[in-house]
Amino acid sequence: MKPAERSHIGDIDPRALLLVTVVYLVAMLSVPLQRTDMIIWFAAYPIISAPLAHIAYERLFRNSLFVLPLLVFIGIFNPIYDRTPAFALFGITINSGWISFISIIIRGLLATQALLLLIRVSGFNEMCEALHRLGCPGAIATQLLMVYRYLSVLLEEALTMQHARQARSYGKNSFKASLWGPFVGQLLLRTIERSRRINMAMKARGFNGTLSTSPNMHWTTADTVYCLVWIPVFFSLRFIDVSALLLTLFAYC
Amino acid sequence: MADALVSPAIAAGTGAIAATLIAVAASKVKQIRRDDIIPLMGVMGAFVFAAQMINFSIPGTGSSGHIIGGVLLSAVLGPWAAFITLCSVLIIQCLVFADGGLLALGCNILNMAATSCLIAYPLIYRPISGTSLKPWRITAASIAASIIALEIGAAGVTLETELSGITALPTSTFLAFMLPIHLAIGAIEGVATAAVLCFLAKYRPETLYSDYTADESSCTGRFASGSGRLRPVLIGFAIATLIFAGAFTWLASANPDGLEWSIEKVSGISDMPSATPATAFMPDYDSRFAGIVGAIIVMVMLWAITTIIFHRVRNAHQNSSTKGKE
Amino acid sequence: MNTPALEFKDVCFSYPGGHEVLRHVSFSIQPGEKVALVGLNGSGKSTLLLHTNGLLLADTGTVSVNGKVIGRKNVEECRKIVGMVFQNADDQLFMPTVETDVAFGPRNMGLKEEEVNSRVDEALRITGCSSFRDKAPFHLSGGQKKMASIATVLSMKPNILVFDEPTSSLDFAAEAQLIGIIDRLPHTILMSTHDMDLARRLCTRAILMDHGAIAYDGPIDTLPYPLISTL
Repeated sequence: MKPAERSHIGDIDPRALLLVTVVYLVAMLSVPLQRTDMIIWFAAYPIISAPLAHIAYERLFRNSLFVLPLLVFIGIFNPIYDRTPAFALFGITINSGWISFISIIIRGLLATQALLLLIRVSGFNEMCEALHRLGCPGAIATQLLMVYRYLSVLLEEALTMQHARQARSYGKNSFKASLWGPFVGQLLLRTIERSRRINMAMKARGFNGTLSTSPNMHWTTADTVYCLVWIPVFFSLRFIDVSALLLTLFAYC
Repeated sequence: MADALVSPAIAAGTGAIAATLIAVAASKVKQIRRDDIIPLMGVMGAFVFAAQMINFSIPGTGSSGHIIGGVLLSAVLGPWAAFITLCSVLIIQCLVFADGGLLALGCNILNMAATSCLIAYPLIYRPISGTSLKPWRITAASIAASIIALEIGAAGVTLETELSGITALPTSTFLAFMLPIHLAIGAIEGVATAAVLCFLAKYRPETLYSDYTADESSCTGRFASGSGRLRPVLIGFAIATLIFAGAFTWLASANPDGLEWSIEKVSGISDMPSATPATAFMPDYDSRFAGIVGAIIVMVMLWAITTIIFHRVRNAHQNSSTKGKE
Repeated sequence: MNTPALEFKDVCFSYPGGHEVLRHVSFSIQPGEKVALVGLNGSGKSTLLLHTNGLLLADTGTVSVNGKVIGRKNVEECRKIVGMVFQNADDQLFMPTVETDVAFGPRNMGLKEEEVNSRVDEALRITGCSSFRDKAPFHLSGGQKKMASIATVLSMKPNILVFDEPTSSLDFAAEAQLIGIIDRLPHTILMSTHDMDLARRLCTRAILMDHGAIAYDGPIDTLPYPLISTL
């Protein structure tokens, strides 16, 4: 996936983005399920950040809908098992199970949107570098870079093999179980063979066990400001009852 | 697992255990003296994605969706290298495809990678298959190991969701639901793993993992003593983390919302509805509903405003860039 | 006569448990010479090339680079002198971007960051890769990948360049560009190829391999190439 082209927050250090995302998730996911109103306030983050990253929030929202089936699957048991009445609305009693169901859906969508934002804004390779600098072991950072690099190469290889098979299978789209093993085994052998060639190419250029990527990643004032703006906002949304404040305000007016 | 299903307390606990395991595995992998291990692990991670494209005639449904799993990777790479590889697959699923959550990463690593590579492979697969290349032993070992791995993983998902206080589903019902499904998935994965491993055993047996580290420690004494000094420290660290994480999780489960509880304790502030000024002003239920409606209205307004600004900025950008071309 | 850039003396090699791949191979290449290595698939060309920078070590006989025999101890050093461009660019480009890949070799040599950067710039300029230096290999065309993999080797400033099938899987436009670039390089060159047009364009001398042994070594014009199938 390509990072967003020249966006306002595209220049923010991936470490700052990662930190803000994690604090956001912790703050948002720690809201009790019965406080749907508090969870909704957290939508402010993706709604404001998406345009800054040159993404229409609409699109982000639509893209996050893929988690919906899982959320509904887990959440649907709440209205069934938790029938404590929460409030009455136009004469209909709403169970607290329904409230937690709605909360699960919303927090699931928001968490996915925050993650999607992080992915769109910072490229994967920069994120690996950030992880490495945040103390993730070199072995796993190297590993992530390698997997990401060869993902497309191997997918193409699998696809080619798949097509070669389809061309001779007269419309049967899936495998007989007895053929699947040798097929995947063949792909595995090719993969091992490829690793042998890559290893030679690495050794030929003096590889000594650690991948060193570009050292240019600087924490700037902009990054500090970015963190100092969002993190207090998340804390306030978590610990201040914004809805109640608003209601009191309306009541006074 | 998705972010929506975990509480921050559970995420922190599982994250701590997962991070410790990764650190241990990283140091173990460094001791592997096979010089192509770095590119091999890299392409094997990519292989896991590629192999998933090749569909299977038995429909595989379920929460994990990984037909190629830790048992197969372990049988080729050895448990620690396989663990790192599978972790990288899970991290990429999260950070590239937004599949699984950032905070749920610890849970996912424990449920999928640790169970298959660090529990099922050494405790089930190795004892059953031994060093034999006989198909029936490999098949039995693969099926047993895959089923055990998935069942423990399913139990993990259940436990983590329950401890997070997300679902109202009773634990026993949840388990009764998850375990049979994962028994079926495990059986399918086991058969698939066996099919690939039997192929390898028949045509290229040298690609299957045989204990490199054991060979190494016997031939290079220096390395063996080095790891010997390191081992107690690592084990101690791992046990300490497990105890810490266990205590943390227990605290979290004793209180449905662990973080809530600890923050209350520490700061003396409670944000339970009864203590907020709003409830003093309005009956709780109505204010709750009004709060939800208010929040939605404000968010929709915010959305509208940012969208308008967004379009205006973009149009301005396009105008200036076309001008630039002229 | 000065010391040959590359010299094989009676080299024999077989893969573990396999048959003999190289049988008493001897030849020497003078500095600045451009040599084509031709022969059928499986005649031992690639195996021979892997001996030039110590990725494989001869069972018997010696391989020397600039007069120094390659052994286990000086492999690192001779890999700085002999740069190898592998057949499949996807195997050669393992880093996230072209730029980091070109910098990979110099960084491993322990050079200072400024030196690394200037070498990267130069290598990218020579191969015409500057315009896509920040791109991931995934976004490159086959020809671009090939040029980039040549850059990854040039940045290490080797004296000798070894190419394994440089034009396989390239279209004719990319091939023409590649020939243009290689033609301008001052390095000593050894390349294995099936492409006789390419060999005639770039090389003056040819070595013909057959079943692991040298069947012909001389000017490329008198190479009995069409007769190879009857050998």
